This record gives sequence, C-alpha cells and structure tokens, in this order.
Amino acid sequence: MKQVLITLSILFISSLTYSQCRGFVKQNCEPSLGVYIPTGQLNYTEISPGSKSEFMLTFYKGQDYRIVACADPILTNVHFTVRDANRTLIFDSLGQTDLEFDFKVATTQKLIISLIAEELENPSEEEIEGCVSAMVGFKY
Amino acid sequence: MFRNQLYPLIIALILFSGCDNSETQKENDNLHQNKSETSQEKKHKNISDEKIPAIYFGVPSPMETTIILKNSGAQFEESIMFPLENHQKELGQSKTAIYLGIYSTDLNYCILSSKKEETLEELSAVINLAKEIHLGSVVNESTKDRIELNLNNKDSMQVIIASTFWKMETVMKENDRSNLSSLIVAGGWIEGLYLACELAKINPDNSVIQQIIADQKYTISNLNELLKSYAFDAEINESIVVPLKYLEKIFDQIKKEEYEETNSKNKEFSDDLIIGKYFKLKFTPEIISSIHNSIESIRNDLNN
Repeated sequence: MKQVLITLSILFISSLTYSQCRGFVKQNCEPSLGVYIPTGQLNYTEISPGSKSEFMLTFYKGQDYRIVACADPILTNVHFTVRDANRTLIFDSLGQTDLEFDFKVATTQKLIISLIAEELENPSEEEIEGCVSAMVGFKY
Repeated sequence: MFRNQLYPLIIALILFSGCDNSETQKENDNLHQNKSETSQEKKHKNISDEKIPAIYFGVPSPMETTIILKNSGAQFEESIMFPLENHQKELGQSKTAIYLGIYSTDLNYCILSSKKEETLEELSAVINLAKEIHLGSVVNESTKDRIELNLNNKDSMQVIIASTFWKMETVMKENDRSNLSSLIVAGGWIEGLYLACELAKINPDNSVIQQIIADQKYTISNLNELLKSYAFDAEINESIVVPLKYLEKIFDQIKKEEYEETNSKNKEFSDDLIIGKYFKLKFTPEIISSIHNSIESIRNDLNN
C-alpha cells in the first residue's frame, strides 16, 4: 500500500511538473509565435543550470519558420542554437534579448535546435530545474 | 521521466554508431559530437559538455505535411482517404491512436481542399476516436461547433485544429502516455505519405509531389527514432515498427548530394533569411514505386 502511494505521488508530481511546464509554455512562448502556426513538434522539457536539451527536427523547403525559445526565469542566461545535421552552427541567440529566429530553409533538411542553460553565477546547493521550450511555427 | 525514457536510446545510438554508416546514423551521431563548437561557445564553458543532453526527435504534424502536399497543386481525391467507417470498429488503445493520426491527416486534407461536408465527417471520426483514448476533454463537440462556425475560413479552422492537436500531445505527455502520442504521429505520417504516393500516381508529371515523397527521407528516421523510445505490443511491432524500419531502408536508397546554389534570384535578392545547405535528392521512379508499395502495404494492414 505504501509503495502504491509513493508511486502515485511520484506520478502526480511528474504530471504536475509537466502541467506547470505546459502552462508556462502556453503563457510565455505560444504568443511569440504570432501568426505562425505551431508545427506540432512539441519541444519542451525541464533542465538544470549547466545543461542543455536538443531537438532534431525536419524543416521543409518553401515554408516560413519561426523558432521561439523561452525558459523559466529561474534559469538565467538561456540561449539557443540552430545547427545543420553536421552540427555546423547556423544561429546562436547568445547576447540577444529576443529569443526568436525567423527563416526559410534552402532545401528540406534536418536541423538541430539546442537549448542551453548556463551555470548560475552563484549556484545554490539545492537542485534547480526549470522549464525550457523551443516552439516552432510555420506559415505558408 | 522523459529523459529516462531517452537514455536507452542515447546509449543504443552510441553503441551502434560504429556498425552503421548510413546518412541517418551519421546525422544522429552528430547529436553527440561537438567538433564544430565555435569560439563564442567555447567562451561559455560553464555548460558541461560531458553531460548527455536529452534529445527529442520531432516529426512534422499532419497539418504541415498536408499543406505542403496541397501546395503541389494536386486536386482533391476523396477516394484515396482512409475508409470512414473504420473508426467505428472495436480497436485497442494503440490502434485507436494510430487511427486518430490517420483521420487527422485526412481531416487536414479536407480542410485545405475546402471540402466542408467531408471536413465535418472526418472531424466526427476524430472526435469519436479521441473519446476512446480519453482525449474527449480536448477534442469534442465544442471543437466541432467552432469548426462549423469557421467552415468558410480555412485559416481559422487550421488555427483551431493546430491548437487542438498541440493540446492533445501535451495532455498525453502530462499523463505519461507519450507512447500513444508517438502512434498518433506515426499514423498521421503514414497517411500523409500514402496520400502523396497516390497523388503522385494520379499526377505522374507532377515532380513536386515526387520531391515531397523523397523529402520524407528526413522524417522517417526521426519517426523511427521516436518509436524506438517506447515498448509496444507484438501487434504494433509487426504492423508499424518493423515495416517502418524496412521502409527507412528503401528511403536510404535515395542519395543526398550537396550543391552550390548558383541562381542568385533564389539566394541574394530574397527578403527572407535562407539557412542551411542546398541538397539534391537523387531518386528513380522505381524507388518511389517501392515506397508506394511499402506504405500501401502498411496502411492495408492497418485497415484490416
């Protein structure tokens, strides 16, 4: 019985965390897509300072794309990069205030989007995790 | 939790990286390399590269795929859509999820083709299937009411549908049912490729459709990586997972060739920022025909 309760608690907490992350994405990232329609490639997760999360996505020729990155304010200095499939850097939002990138692709191809949360300047002993998201929208 | 599901995948990728020299494998391996880090990034050494990042393999939604298909100029063909009566069959959770993906693609195809009656019929199927896998709170009669109000406005309908599917995926992720979500994605992609292959057969001179089919080379590897993250029962393995791996091998016959864009009209005078490399996919009618046969067989199995 105790084990069942523990399992249920873990599931509830996990669900709550993702729910909070979704709420955060919906409130903070989705509006930045503007007229771009979400591609449905759902890209949000929780990361800790000093780590990164990567998404490999397909982008089609002829579409206009917007990538919007956003992160929980608890994670300071979050930026994102866009690389081609050979990891050649195409874009880095480091130092930019707007975490948005509008583009088209030369031909249909895969791109790797990395969300990077830098180490905190004054790391606390408590383990910190925050929601990060890279939403991709398109228009045609 | 999500990351835990991905660790076996990451380990598998590392273990098998020396065994497979396909382009897909090379691309996936690149996810774990940092050979081309820029000096700007090196300045930010706070990020510990030794930490394996969580990786997500994305597959475009049925909406995006059908929009591209519609842009090819092909006419609407009702006869190629999945039989509508199938959604009333007794299905398990997994097959219901696959069917939901299939009908979602057909729904988008109808919306984009401005077929009002067909749109409402497909939407009813989607609502019915969504209810079966406990997504009734996301896709329901109120979704239908909103679509009905916007039947003359394709753009509004797309926004409603896009937002609905975004909610569906997030709800499934929250409820630890990402495995079913991956099957919705798989079903949607299978139907999109099938529609493209059928339209290519009907319009043999339309090279754009053939290019769309060939472009799925990029997506099938992501889809298979996504499916690899989950354990499915024997029926799903036999009807989806194994045949899609076989299909990927057919796509591997399409070779990717990089080229320099010399047409300045395409490059320099465009107001849009164009990124990435220029690739030409080299394929023959026989490869397209093999892809068609393979996807038709997968879809026929699902129809039984």
